Amino acid sequence: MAGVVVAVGLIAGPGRARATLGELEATVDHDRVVLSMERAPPAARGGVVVHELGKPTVSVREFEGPSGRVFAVAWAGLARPDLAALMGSYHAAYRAAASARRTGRGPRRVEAADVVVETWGHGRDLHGRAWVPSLVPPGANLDDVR
Amino acid sequence: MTFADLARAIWIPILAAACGGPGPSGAPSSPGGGAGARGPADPAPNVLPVSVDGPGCGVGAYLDEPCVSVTICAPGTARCQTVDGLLLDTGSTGLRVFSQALTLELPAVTAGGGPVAECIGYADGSSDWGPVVRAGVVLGGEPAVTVPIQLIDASYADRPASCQSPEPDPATAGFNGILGVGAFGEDCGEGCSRADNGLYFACGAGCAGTALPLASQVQNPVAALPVDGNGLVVRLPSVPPAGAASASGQLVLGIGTRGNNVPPPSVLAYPLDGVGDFRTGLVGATVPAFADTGSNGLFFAPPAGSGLVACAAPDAAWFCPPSAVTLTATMTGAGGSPSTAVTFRIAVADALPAGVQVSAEVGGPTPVPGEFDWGLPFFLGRDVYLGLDGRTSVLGPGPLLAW
Repeated sequence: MAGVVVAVGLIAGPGRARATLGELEATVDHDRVVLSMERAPPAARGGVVVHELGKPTVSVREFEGPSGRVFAVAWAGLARPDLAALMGSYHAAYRAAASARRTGRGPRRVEAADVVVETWGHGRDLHGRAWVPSLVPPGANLDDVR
Repeated sequence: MTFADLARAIWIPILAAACGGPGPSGAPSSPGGGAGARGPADPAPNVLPVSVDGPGCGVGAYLDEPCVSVTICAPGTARCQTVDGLLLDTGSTGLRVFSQALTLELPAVTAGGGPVAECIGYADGSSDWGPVVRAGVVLGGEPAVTVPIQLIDASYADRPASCQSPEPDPATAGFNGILGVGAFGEDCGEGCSRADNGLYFACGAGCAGTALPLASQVQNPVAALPVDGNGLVVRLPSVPPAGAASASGQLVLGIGTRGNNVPPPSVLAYPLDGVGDFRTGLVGATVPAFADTGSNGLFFAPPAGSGLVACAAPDAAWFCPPSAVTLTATMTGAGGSPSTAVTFRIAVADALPAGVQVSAEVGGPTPVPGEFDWGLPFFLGRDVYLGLDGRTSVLGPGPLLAW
C-alpha cells in the first residue's frame, strides 16, 4: 500500500497537488475544487467518458479512457484555466517546450516528451487542448477532444 | 494651413451631413490603394501609419508583423511619451505596453482599495501580466482619450500561479506592446464585471481574482474617440506573390465619418457574433472565423487531399505543400448572410525568398475542426472595415467586418 502512495506522489510531482492529465478519474473532483467550477454529470462517448467542468467564464472537459486515466483535457472561454492544475505532472514539460522561439503569432502546437498541447482562438475566446499520446486509447478520435 | 487643408476642413462637415455616399475625391477608390496613396505628409487626424516589418517595427520583428506608434500621456497633462513598435491587433482589445518601453508614471486602476493587475492570454499560449493603469492615449491626430491600459510587467506584484508564460520583454515578444482594436469596447466585457474571471486580480498582500466594472477594464481606445469611434479601416497594399521586404499602409479611424473612411458601394458587411466571429466554409466544413491583424498567417485545418502539409521542424507551424495551393473559401455573416467567396493561395513557406518579411500567401495548420484565423495576409491588398460593438456606421450596426 505504501508503495502505491509513493508512486502517486512521484507522478504528481513534488510539492504540487494531485491533478488531472494522466491521472485517475477521481482527480476530476479535485480539479473542480481547485478551478472553482461546477461539475456536470459525465457522458459516455464510445469507450470514452467525458467529464465536464465549468464556470461562467471558462469550461473544461476531461477525457477518461477505459483504463480509468484521463488521457486528454480541453478548455474554452474568456480566459485560460489554470493549466498547472489541469495538466499536473505534464505541465512543466509543456512550459519548457513552449519556451522555444516562436515563428510569429497565432495558434500553436507544442510537442513535449509525452504530451502535446494545442492552443488557438482570440480575445474573449481562447481554446486549447492537451493529450498524452501514450495514454490515448486505441480507436479514440482526437478530433473529439475539444 | 495649406489650400488642401482648407478644402478638407470645409468638406468634412458636408460629407458627414450627407452620411455615407462615397466621397468624390477623398474616399478610397479601390482596395489596395492604400500604401503611399495619400502620402506621408497627410494631415488627416484619423490616420495612423502602419508599417509591416519596415521602419517603426523594433528589433525582433517577425514575418507579417504590422506595427504602429501611439502617444501615451499622464491623464490631463502634457507629460507624454511616444511608443513605436506596437503590434496592431484586431484580434484583441486594449493598449498594452511593456514597462521597459514606457517610463511615464501613470495612475493605477483600483478594485477594493488595491491596484488591479491583469493576466490576458493569447492564441499561442502566452500571456501578458501587469498592472492596469489610466492613460491619455493619442491615436494619430485625434484628441487624447483617457482609458485604462495595461503595463506589461511579468515581475509585477505577486503573479498568480495560474498566469502562465508571461511575456518577459519586448525582445522576446517581438514588439514594444499591443494596440488591440478588436470589435469590442473592453477586453473582457460583462463576463468579467459580474464574477471572478481569471483575467483580473486585485493586488494587496497577494493578488486575488476579482470582478471588475466595465469602465475599469482595459478599453479599446478607438471606441472612446469623439468623432471616429464607430470603427476603423485597415488599409494595406498588396504585395507580389514572391513577397516583399516591407510594406506600409494605414489604420484609418472611423467608418463613414470623414472623407477618407467612406466605404465604396462594393463593400459588403458581415455581422459578427458575441465573440467577434463570422463563419468560413472550406470544402464542406464550416467553422467560426475571425480577421486578425495580430496573427501572422492564414491558420486553418487543411482539407483532406489539399496537399497542405506542415513544414519540417522547426517550421512546423507553417504549411509546406509540394507546390503553391489555391483554395476558395465561403465567407458568411454570423447570422447566415451575406455569403461570398474568397480565393486565396498558400505558398511553400520554406521557399520564401531571403529577405521577404511580408507575404500574402503564408499559412499554417490548426486542429480539426478548429477555427479559421484570417491573419495579416488576408488584409494585404484589401481595405478591411471593422465596425465596433454597440456602434452604428454606414455599414450597419456593429460588431461587423466588411471588405
